[in-house]
Amino acid sequence: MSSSLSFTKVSRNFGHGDVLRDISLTVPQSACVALLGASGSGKSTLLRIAAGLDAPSAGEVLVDGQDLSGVPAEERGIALVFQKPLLFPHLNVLDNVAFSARMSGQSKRASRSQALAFLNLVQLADFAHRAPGKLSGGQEQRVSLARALARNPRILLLDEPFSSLDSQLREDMYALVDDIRSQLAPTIVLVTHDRREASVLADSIAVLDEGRILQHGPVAQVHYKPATLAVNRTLGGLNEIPGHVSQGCHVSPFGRIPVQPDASEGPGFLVLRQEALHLVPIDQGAVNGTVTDLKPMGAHTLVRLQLDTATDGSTGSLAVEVVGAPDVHVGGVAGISFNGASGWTAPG
Amino acid sequence: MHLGFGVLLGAWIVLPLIPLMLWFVAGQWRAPDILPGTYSAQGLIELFSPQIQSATATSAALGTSVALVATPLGLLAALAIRRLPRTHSRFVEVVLLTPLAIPPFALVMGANVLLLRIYTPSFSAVVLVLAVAALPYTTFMFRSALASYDDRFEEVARTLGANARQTLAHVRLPLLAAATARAAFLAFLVGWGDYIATLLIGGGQLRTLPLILGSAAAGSGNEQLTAALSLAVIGPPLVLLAALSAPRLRERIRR
Repeated sequence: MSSSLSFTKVSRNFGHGDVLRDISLTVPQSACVALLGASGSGKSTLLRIAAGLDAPSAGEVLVDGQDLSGVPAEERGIALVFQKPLLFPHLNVLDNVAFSARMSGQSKRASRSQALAFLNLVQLADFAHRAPGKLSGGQEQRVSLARALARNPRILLLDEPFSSLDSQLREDMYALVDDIRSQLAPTIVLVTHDRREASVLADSIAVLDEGRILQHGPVAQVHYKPATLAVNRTLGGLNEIPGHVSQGCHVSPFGRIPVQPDASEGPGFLVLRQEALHLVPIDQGAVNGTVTDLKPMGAHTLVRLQLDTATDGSTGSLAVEVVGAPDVHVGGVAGISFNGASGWTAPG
Repeated sequence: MHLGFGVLLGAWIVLPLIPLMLWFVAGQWRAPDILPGTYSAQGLIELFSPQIQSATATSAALGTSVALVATPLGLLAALAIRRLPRTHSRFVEVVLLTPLAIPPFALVMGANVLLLRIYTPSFSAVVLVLAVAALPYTTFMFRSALASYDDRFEEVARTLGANARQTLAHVRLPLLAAATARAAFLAFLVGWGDYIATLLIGGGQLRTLPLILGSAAAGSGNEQLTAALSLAVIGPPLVLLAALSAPRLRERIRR
């Protein structure tokens, strides 16, 4: 059983300033929304408010349209998984997972039987009788997830649950979350500062900065059509080319690029993902540039180029992410092409 | 180096007990003999006399009562200190430490007048005074435990459906069980081994082991009885300490 979750004009003030300001966000039933932002952006506070562990200074939290004001955490049916697994050290793995059933008054036998099913789901049934201290970090977090799911929550909140795991374990956990979503279809709100994690796990991403939601949209939209330069930077976008918008096109050293029809006329930044650009032979792209830096990134290389000065004297720089090792060197000149049908501008 | 200090420390604790143990089993022991001339079980038999049995029960009741009062109060005090701003919490800590700074005799004399005036029964009066003396120990035992206590355990429990009472019973108390045992043990020791408060506030009506030991040591000249009573005072706390330490030792050995 999963539910929708809505925040309506939620604010939180801790006395020294607003941590959250007028947050409005809807998470549809069975969807996964990632709250992405830097430390101190207010994302964990929003999660605590949803869980009932903190109260908003203003605004409402609604589950299936029902206002949760005054409903204590234990009656909300919302489970929270923290970054630290926080398994109860005085209970073994099975009894940790059986905790919520025991609290709801079920017998020890029934609670354990149900808990075992959830341990099976996270592939840790063989560890049922171990003490939490005898598990690895990844196993502990799996048990923590199983314990939260055993609550049969209407909504599952994940507060950076995988950030302390190594990269391989994270990949395993992502696969586990996919499994859980396909089997149980819970509504999930994921807090993370890792844009890749947000993109892999969530259906949509809400970008938070200084207590405000800057943009909420599908994963591709926030990457390729950022509402502001701050969203572009939060999502790892490296290219912001100054220029101006005129008659539906952005004009800059990069040329005259068609942009979104509703773009405001006047100064604006052309936002081009480094992944959407390609290096081509000189004079075969939209613009030429001189390579200033080559940064290996595993299977990709990030090439930074200084654009040739345009006829109006303006210039700029671009980053291009290419597959493998490109056939260019620092100081060399290459053409840059843009494959998109249209560009995207964001206000400065 | 460390081993040498360890041995010296062990000797410092154990050496005074050796003459006691010898006196406990001695029949006759005259100077300048190094060991008793004859041995006897009279000391052991004395320990089972009704008078000493009754004193042991009174001491145990006193120690347990002090532990029952001072342990929860210590937890509440530690929780309160934790929630207070730092400047306020320092002040409360100093107030709680005051019983350690005031000489027990002065403290007890002051309390005695007050307790007599409000007609407090002697046992309850002694428990009350000793609970105050035990409070610094219990508070600081919980204070150090709470310093490493993660409140998010309770938050997780609440999101898993536990109400306030269930969170207390199934999360907070089990997580603080070790600190509770240590605090209760210290408070028990305060009640079990007390002499001054029991003598002055109990007004002679409370016959505890330390009181009988005191009078035996002062006037009886019966070294065997004195040694038997001394060991009776020392023994139970050592047994309790061993019982408290056993689970942790077992855990360490298993690792």
